[in-house]
Amino acid sequence: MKYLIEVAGRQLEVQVSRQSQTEAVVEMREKRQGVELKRVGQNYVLLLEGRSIDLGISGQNGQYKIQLAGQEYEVHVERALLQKYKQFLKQAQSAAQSEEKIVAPMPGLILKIEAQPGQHVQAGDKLVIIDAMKMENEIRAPHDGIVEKVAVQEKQQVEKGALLCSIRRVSEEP
Amino acid sequence: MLKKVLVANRGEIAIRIFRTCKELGIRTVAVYSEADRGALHTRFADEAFQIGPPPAAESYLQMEKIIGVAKGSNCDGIHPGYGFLSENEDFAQASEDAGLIFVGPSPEAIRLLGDKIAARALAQQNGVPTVPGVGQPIQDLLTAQKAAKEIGFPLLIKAAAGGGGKGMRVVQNESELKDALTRAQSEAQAAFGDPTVFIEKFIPKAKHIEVQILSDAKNFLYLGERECSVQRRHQKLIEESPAPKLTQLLRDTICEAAIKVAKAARYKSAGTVEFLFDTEAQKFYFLEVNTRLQVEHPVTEMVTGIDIVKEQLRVAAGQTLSITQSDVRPRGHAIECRICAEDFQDQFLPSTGFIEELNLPTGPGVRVDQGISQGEHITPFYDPLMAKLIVWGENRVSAIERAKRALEEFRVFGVKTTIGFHHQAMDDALFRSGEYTTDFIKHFQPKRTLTDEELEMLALAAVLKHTQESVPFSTNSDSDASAWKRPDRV
Repeated sequence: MKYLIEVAGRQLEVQVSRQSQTEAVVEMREKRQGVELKRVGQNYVLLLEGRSIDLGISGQNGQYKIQLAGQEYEVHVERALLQKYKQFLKQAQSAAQSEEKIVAPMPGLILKIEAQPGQHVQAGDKLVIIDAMKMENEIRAPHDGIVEKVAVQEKQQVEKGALLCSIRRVSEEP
Repeated sequence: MLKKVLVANRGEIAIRIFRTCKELGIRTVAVYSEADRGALHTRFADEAFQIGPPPAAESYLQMEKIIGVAKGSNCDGIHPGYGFLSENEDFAQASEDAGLIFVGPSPEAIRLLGDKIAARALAQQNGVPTVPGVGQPIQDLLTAQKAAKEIGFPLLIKAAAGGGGKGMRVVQNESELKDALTRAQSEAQAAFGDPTVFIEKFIPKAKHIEVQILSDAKNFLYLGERECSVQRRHQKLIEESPAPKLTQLLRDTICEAAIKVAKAARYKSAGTVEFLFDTEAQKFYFLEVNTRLQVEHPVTEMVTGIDIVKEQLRVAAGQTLSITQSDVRPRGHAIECRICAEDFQDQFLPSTGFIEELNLPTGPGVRVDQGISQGEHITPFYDPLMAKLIVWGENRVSAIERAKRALEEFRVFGVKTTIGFHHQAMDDALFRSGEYTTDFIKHFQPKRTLTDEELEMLALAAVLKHTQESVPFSTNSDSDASAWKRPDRV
């Protein structure tokens, strides 16, 4: 079976034929080799010909975080066919979104809300102030527009990625 | 010696202090918030008591509750650690009033040095240079504008009661002044209950150098200096000792200046005198005194072999220091990397979550002071520091190589960490040259290039993990035929 692997913006195609629960023969970059991935305690060991590599892997269903030599990488695995289909779908859906969601860049406490629904804002205007661990962080409008919705209240604790408010771009056509 | 000590703190520093207490035969008491129920530090103490809800203001900053626990559990001493109540003179006073020994300087010394404006004046009176600025409190925009005219941009707004980078703002020009002042005052009010700020010149190419001092009020020792110029949000990430690129003459001058300030404040216990070294003007300036044990104290412990907490406890118990200045003979080089729950690829923003896996490095010359264990949650309530990696090497290069090696062994899953940053910093040409300044992180570019070999390893690991998740591979030969019907057949 053929898989597409994506790491840090780079792609690789790998043909895999499983030999056992942990072993497989893989073909990658015109090189065929036997490999094994074994779980050892909390870690994983990747066994190649002439090399054993200590790795940390977390995640599942094709989305992994792999720690290798002091760095962490996000690695995405997908069956090659499925990937092509998804790309096609994405292109078909790429209608421009006029409303931008402003989300919390960090978990924290909503200290102050400066934006009101219906308010015209300019790029750089303060929207929300979040107190996160040690700093008061000003969340500012990324572009000009009208505040559509304010989704949080002052003194509310928010997670990273939580919707704060949304801004609708004002059409530039007359 | 003290018999039983309560540590009014959490995380790695509480554990650090408990360890020395245990070695000295001192019984230990932990306190914890609801969010820290069962946390690692509570398991390191002989006794542990809950003191309130998760927000620090309702738990770790509750003086009366903490003192009540100390009295109720028959402690004779309180160690405040760093942060929280460690530089709060009222807490030191209240502890003493309750008949407890506060492991730290006197309330008077904390008051004097805790007021950064007063500390500035004290340094000047003792012939120690301070950063050019206006040593007057700034209350409103008008006085701030006046001060700005006098000093010139860029400038730095600092909280008079400050510490830990809170209430601090760099201002590049007039138009930023108003917002920066508001934020700094608001942060200072929230963090220290005092909105007073003052203004100094911002020195763009500066090294942060600090001197570890120890005193029993009769003997004043310096344990050498540390360089802590790798900072984000005015908070340190990497510290090392000795400071690279500092001449012996300058080192001696700075250490002597630190002792001058400590003596003038009649300082007792462990403390740190912080300086800024302007690399362009080749001048150093007094910044402030931290009247407590510092996060990076292990760097000094590694090169001197002195247990700073042990000396703190001795002095608190009324004993003299167990060492003299001639016993302080730093050897080799030590580096500390703060392992924080932060995303270094996204502005070092805090990352919260569940620690799924934790592998700590070991081996020669490696010390880890950890505050968390596997299976714990990193909550948004407290400082994101999870652990400190401290390495020792016979010289700076071997310490750097050892840090790299240890960072490769250090593995945390569940939250983003600064491990990857440190690993790259250890390879960074500017860091290795020792000529880095406090703007190091601002110009630091996370390396995202993968070698072909790394790419292949990651791809293989991921694809094998992925295929292992699907239907278990059958070893039963009878099922060979039906194996062709499995979805993952090749």
